[in-house]
Amino acid sequence: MPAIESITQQRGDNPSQLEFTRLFVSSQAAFQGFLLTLVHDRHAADDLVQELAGRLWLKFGDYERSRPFVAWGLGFARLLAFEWRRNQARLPVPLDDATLQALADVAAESSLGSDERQEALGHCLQQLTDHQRQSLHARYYRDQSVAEIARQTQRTETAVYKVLKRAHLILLDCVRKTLESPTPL
Amino acid sequence: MKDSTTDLSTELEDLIFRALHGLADESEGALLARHLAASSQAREIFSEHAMLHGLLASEAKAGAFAADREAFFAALENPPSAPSPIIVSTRRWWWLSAAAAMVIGLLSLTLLLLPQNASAALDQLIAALDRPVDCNYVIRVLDPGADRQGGNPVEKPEHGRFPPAAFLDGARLYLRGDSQYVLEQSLPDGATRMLGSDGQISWCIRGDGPVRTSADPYHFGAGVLAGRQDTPFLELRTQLEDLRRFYQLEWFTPPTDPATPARLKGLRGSRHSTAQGGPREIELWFDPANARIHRLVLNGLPRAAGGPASIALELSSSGPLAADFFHHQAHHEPSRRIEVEATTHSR
Repeated sequence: MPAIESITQQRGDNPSQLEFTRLFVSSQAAFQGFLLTLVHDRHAADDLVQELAGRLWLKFGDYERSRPFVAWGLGFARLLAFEWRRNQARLPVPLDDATLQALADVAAESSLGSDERQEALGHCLQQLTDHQRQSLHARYYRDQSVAEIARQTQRTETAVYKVLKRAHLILLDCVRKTLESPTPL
Repeated sequence: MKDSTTDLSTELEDLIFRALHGLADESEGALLARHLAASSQAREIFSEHAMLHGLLASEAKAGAFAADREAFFAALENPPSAPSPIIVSTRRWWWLSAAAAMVIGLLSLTLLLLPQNASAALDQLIAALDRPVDCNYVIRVLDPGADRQGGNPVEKPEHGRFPPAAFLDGARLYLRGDSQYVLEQSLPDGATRMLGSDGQISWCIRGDGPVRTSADPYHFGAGVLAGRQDTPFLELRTQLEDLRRFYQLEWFTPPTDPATPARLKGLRGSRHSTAQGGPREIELWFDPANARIHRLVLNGLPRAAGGPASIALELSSSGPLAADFFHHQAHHEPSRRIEVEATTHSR
């Protein structure tokens, strides 16, 4: 179930819950991106976002309103991601502690700008072809692997891989340029 | 002349892309790790890609890549359920033996055979939870989950507040309707822990210690699954509602159980890629005659805090229990000390 619902619905409506819900929902993309940068697995990041919601709710009484909620939450997210990595038998990208800390610093900085990034992405999506959209829908919405998409569309895995990667790079380049552009969107 | 910087960037982006899509092999993962250790620029590029990867998943959830967004949202509101062979054959059987069916119990059959999609069947199961029927389940840990070395977990026989989740195996769960439960579990030290709720007050009795109570009905349920905040099998209504809302459903035929004459139906739910948290897959075996759940399998449980990867609840009996069975007083002597726990922001 979505992280925020599962945690807060047990406690009934109250101003604190509503405030937490509003803050967490508005920060969820930042947390998701940050965790994904450190764990490299979308499903694991999903699970960790749920776990993070629980931990933040438990500590919400300690949250100082003068501090940005995202920055407060990223501290917990960092610990959660490190904890998750320690518990894995095998990591596809093994990182030493120093590299992981350095990567977390970069990810935290990027996460703070996730709203602008998301807005830019919304505009950049217009650059995609129908074919690229279909592939992204299959990969990200239906959660199909490259091999499954290839089988379903009767193409080679290499061809599917190239379409996805091309779409990814087009969007990355567009988002970079949009964020660097002095002209507001 | 080729630009070596461009070559490096292309190679790095390819590695990052492969890693984020789970395609990188061990040597590629190690090579990417070396890049990330050696270069702050590589870390920035990696972070950019990972952020985009996450945002694309969010956009997909919002239907950004659907060919027809109007149809996409209509489908979300009215999820189509594939007509299953079970339903088709049942309906055929219905017409062929209508007269007999009317005699042997029209009402019980219409309860779940007539709904033509899985979502409607789930509605019936959820509605059945309003009836205060008692059911006794045995919990089986089907997959304890791998430890960090990749082997079976070697959990320490700790005496902490939450016993290792492997000790759930063999635990007994008694349910009445959707809000009353008792979970009886043997602890590593040989003592018994009982968690329960009568729908108003939740309670916990550990060995011969004090009775702890809380006004939060699920206060003590947290932590049953290795420190998780929720315990899906204690909140059956929520679990079934989640199954309907966040899972792709399909019918299947459970194997025949010689121990029961019930003709069980099976529903299997695979969590939508966009839904967060919860088991990756849920399997439900139920008796359509009375909407009673005979088996509930939760596969791919979130394991951020450890705990089993897969558990099953198996119906053991459904006879009526004592009226006060779900009150803590039914499980300890009157002189036992009672401690009331605060519920605000603490578990």
